[in-house]
Amino acid sequence: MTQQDLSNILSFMKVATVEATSQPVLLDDADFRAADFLQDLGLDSLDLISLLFDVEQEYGIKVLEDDIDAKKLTVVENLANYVIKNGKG
Amino acid sequence: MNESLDVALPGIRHISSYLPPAQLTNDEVVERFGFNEEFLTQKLGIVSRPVAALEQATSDLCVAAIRKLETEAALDLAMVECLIVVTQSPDFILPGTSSLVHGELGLDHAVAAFDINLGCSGFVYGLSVAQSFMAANGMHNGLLVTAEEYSKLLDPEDRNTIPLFGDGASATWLSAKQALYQPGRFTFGSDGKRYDAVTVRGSGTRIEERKPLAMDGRAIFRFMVTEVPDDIAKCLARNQLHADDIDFWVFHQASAFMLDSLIKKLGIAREKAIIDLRDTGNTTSSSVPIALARNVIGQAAPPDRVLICGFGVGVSWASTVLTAVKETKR
Repeated sequence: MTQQDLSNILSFMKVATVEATSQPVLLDDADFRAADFLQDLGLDSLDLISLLFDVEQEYGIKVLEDDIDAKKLTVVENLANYVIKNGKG
Repeated sequence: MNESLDVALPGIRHISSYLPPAQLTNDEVVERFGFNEEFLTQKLGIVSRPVAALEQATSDLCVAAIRKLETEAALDLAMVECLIVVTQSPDFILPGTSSLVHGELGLDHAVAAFDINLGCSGFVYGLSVAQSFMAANGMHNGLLVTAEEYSKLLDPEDRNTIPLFGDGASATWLSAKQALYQPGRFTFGSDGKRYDAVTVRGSGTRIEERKPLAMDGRAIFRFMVTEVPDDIAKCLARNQLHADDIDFWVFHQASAFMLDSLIKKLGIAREKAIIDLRDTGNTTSSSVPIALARNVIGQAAPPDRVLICGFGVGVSWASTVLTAVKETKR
């Protein structure tokens, strides 16, 4: 995947975050990438599972439950890198 | 009540369930919270959730489940010697919901009626308490009832909980005669340091602002994948069984994705584990008995051995193995 792909994934996650919280994301790109969906972006646990489901459908990957904690996929950048590593693109 | 204590250990004679007729559908959940409908259906495994009517209290659900037991299994209430209600959403803090059910059904004054305050592990704990209590006191017939109305504890705006939970009740007839299943040895567990994984703050004597039910889903998930497989291994060992000896697995019906994770973690065959919450949602203490009532009890070819496991609020967990009683021994 390319830098453009990473940018697209981050945009997808930002839109999903806004939809889940009904709040705009006021962080700049660097802070957004370092943010934790649960602690910093206001998602609750079910929102996170819902967002991961949307990511799976969008990018044709399977997010393993064990990886959520082990690979800290609650952090935006970690999840984006996980998608790049496991995605079909 | 029989004065002799020489009574066979009571087992499960029948289980009936009651779900309030009104349903919160996925269409409404999608409209209110914007979730992807496929997420609700596939990931949570839920299509609709029963919701009790405003005027319908938890004791009413209990009575409805017991009335079904009378119809489905010809239970004669005059035979009942104890009534145990498992609930964390009682009509009142006091008296216990069992008192209201006892009064509504007009049960005999000699009937022992009390509540057990447990959530998703409550049916399994209740089964052991009921069986032990009945055996210790020479009782032949007892009722173990589970009932929850989380709909009245939840914040209607909470997208973290509304899609998950449903209201419902179960009534189990425990009898020393004609039992279909006999519980084996039990395993139990508790971790009170994690009590705040699911709470209704301000609802008791700790003075603070009353809050709706709050749940840390990730904490519950972590607890499930760490404690529950160990407990199941202990339960199998305590019953001198292996996983291959179990014909059917009935876990607390938390959500499809939690059950999928547990099934994978345990390495058991998917077709042997029940995922049955499409039209119930997570009914907490009632989820195991409702799943048993719908998938095990009264089936044409009932499974010989069923492992049941409840886990959740507390946090608390418990397991046992139910073994079918051969007709010749009933």
